[in-house]
Amino acid sequence: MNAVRPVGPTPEQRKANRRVALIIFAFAVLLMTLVLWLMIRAKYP
Amino acid sequence: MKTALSIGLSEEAQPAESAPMSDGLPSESRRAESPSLAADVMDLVKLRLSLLVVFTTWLGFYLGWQGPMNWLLMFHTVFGTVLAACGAGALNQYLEREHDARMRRTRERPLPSSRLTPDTALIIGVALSIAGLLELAAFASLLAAVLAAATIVTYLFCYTPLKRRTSLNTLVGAIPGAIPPLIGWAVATDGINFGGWLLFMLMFAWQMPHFLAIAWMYRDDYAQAGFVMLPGNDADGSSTGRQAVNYTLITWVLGMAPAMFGLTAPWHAVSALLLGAWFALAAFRFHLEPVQARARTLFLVSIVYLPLLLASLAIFKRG
Repeated sequence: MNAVRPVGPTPEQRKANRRVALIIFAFAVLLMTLVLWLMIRAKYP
Repeated sequence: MKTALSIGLSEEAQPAESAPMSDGLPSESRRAESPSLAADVMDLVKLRLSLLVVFTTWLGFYLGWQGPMNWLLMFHTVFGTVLAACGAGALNQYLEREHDARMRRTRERPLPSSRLTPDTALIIGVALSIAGLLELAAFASLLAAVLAAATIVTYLFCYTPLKRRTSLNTLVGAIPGAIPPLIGWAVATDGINFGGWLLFMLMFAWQMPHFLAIAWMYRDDYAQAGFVMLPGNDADGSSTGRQAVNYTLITWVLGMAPAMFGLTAPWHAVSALLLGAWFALAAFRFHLEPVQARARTLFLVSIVYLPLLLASLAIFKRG
């Protein structure tokens, strides 16, 4: 008999991982915007 | 987070393969490899870690100082802090000697392996701590001495006992780990203002993923010695991974904060952005798959991240 073993994250884990990835992405966008703003402010005070 | 007054504080973080493994050696060769007295004393005072303290204290001083550098004041600040750090390290090993004997990673230390007596460690620890505090009080500032004393007290009498009671010990242990740059800042600015607290918070937040990675790598060792660390109650690593991610995000923002508040040139924000992204990704990968290799990578990234971030702060400092 071929027993089927679950491999990898469960659907719930996938969902949680996606949420964490989204949060990190949002942080990255936010902080990049901030850097851009700092640079612009430094150039045109 | 066994370190007082130290960042990087990674005496825990001996790579697994470099952990003492002398069990299989015949006793002669073990004797032949016995460290010298000087090496034992250096081990007792956690010299390598205490020297890391010098770096953060120096950096705090350098960042806070405005105008032509007062090298003598800088020397007294750094030297006093390193003496206190060495003393705290020795006293920690004195208090922890029985537990250290139960951990593979620490059982070859001078006290558990009986190469130094507890009395010797106690005398060295007390003498160095007092010398450091006096040096700071007499030649740097009274506030610096008070901060160093607070570090020693929270490290030895709050964090150390809590290690066997609650996994929140890491949060408490991060306090003495974050004070050394504040000591430098306090002397340079003759007080503690916003910049000093920012540096403190950055150091505090950085330590969390750093120590979560270490605690995960050595979770069996810690459990065996009776230390209550978060990964010990987190079999699948999901909580440890999530917390590591959360703290790297906080560190990311705090790393950039000095540029936002004008303490450094805006260019620091760029390096902090890139470094923070690297740190957060390492934590995210550990969160996705909490295995030894990824915990180790997160730990390694943490110890490269911090010096680079601090170097960026120093390079882009204003004033």
